[in-house]
Amino acid sequence: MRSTYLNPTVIGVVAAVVAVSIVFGALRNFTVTEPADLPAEAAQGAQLFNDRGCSQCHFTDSDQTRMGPGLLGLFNRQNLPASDRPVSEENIRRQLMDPFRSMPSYADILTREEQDQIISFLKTL
Amino acid sequence: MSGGLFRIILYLLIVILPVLLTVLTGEPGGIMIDVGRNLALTGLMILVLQFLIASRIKWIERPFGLDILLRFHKFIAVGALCLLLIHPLLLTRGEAGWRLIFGLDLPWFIWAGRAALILLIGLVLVSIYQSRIGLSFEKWRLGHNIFAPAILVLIFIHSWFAGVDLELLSMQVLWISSFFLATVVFVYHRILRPMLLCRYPYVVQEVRRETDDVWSVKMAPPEGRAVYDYLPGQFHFLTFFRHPGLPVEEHHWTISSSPAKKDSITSTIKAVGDFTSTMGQTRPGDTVAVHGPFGRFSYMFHPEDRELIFLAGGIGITPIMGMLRYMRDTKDTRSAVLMYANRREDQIVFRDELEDMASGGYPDLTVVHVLSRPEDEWTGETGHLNRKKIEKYCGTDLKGKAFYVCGPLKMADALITTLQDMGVPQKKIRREIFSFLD
Repeated sequence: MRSTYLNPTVIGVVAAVVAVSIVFGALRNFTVTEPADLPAEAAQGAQLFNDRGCSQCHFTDSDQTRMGPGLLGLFNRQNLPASDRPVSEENIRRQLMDPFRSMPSYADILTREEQDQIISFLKTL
Repeated sequence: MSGGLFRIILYLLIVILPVLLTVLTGEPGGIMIDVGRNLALTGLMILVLQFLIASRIKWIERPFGLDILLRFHKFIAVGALCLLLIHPLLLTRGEAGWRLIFGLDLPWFIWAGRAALILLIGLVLVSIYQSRIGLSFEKWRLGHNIFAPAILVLIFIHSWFAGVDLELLSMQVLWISSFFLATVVFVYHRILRPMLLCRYPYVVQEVRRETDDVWSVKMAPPEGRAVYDYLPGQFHFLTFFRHPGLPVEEHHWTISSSPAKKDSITSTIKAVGDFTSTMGQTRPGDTVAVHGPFGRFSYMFHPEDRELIFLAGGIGITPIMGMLRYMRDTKDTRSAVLMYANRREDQIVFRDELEDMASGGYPDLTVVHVLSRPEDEWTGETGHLNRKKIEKYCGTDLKGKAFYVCGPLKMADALITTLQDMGVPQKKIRREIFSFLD
């Protein structure tokens, strides 16, 4: 009877989609290799930049805005794009801890060492 | 590989295509975030394909039957909704990201995504609970036709501007193609095809009253054209254009006539709602836009069925009548038993014609009427169709017999359970689910 196969088909399709999403989501991350020419601290910062979701909102290869401003050439600029404060390690640290506008705070998420790593990475852009 | 299995595999490949495109070329964002992205990509593809599934495209419908296809459309929407609800949850990845869901000061394309999700939740819930909230089919369909494309537009906007993976050229091509295809199909299904059907309408030849609330409407094809090819037991969509003041709505009804007759086509319609209660006001000369045929409830799809048992309830007789008429017209000699349930004797549709068929020899037909609320003078079977009656008229050895069940939902469900308890294999039970929203 045709209708007998309907529910298993729907469940099968959704299960297959979820499985593919998980497997390929994991595969996508494990196929990425760290850039060979980045210093160790910056390479760790690059990894953190992805793992902590920063890449969700910020381009690193462009200055165009996604949800947040693009960060290409950040340390070549005079001022930070959102707050307009002068570009410095301290102001970037301040933006991470006590963000200007709608960026979430990373005060409870990033250790001091991790902040240093991310800042090292941002300097390479 | 069967046609149905091929289409299911193709469907799955299309749904996961964006994930395949982005796995090696997209920018990784961490496992949780990437899984969240993938669920959104696949959920969105499912929603895009919903437009194709619901558009009565014959190549898609053929192996499954439109009734099953539209139920798949309904159930998979729930699946897509679940995927899209998990998507933002995974993207938040803890407290730091909860602003993605609850924050107010976020870019406009995030708000587009939120709006799409809220509308989708509403659309799915209303579709599931349509009858329980007392929403008429016509109002439900109107709302569906407005909000479904609105959701598609919002989703496209959200994914285009917010999606990391949409920076890839291959993804942009896929996205634009997919949304363009869904738009084209929707416009064709809802606007162009109805216009084309109205250019060559059928004409009502006769409206015959079968019982107090059942009408047979016989329609002639447009001048110079024959009735389209169909199989006995299939159904079509009809839009009647009658006296101004009478509603113009599209509904689906079974074709009760025999395909052997090429000069006309008939549907037998019961007054069960606001629209069908006006069927008695249909007049010869009224025009009808006809779109069909659809469905797989026909013994013609199963040539291996040599002994047919038809279990019908109320207006569920109509597809079975189409089949019996065709068997008569083609002098089919196979054996058939019709067990036909109604409440009262005056509700039996096609009674005289069934008696003629039973004595005519083609097919080798036995007709058993069962009434649940008969008058005192009724001498036939009483009560409901049940195991005892099936065994009495069909025998206890049901091996090799094929059962065609058509009637009210609860009756059909109960009969199918009974048949399964009696050892009838699934592949020998045929059923059509006539209400697309059940």
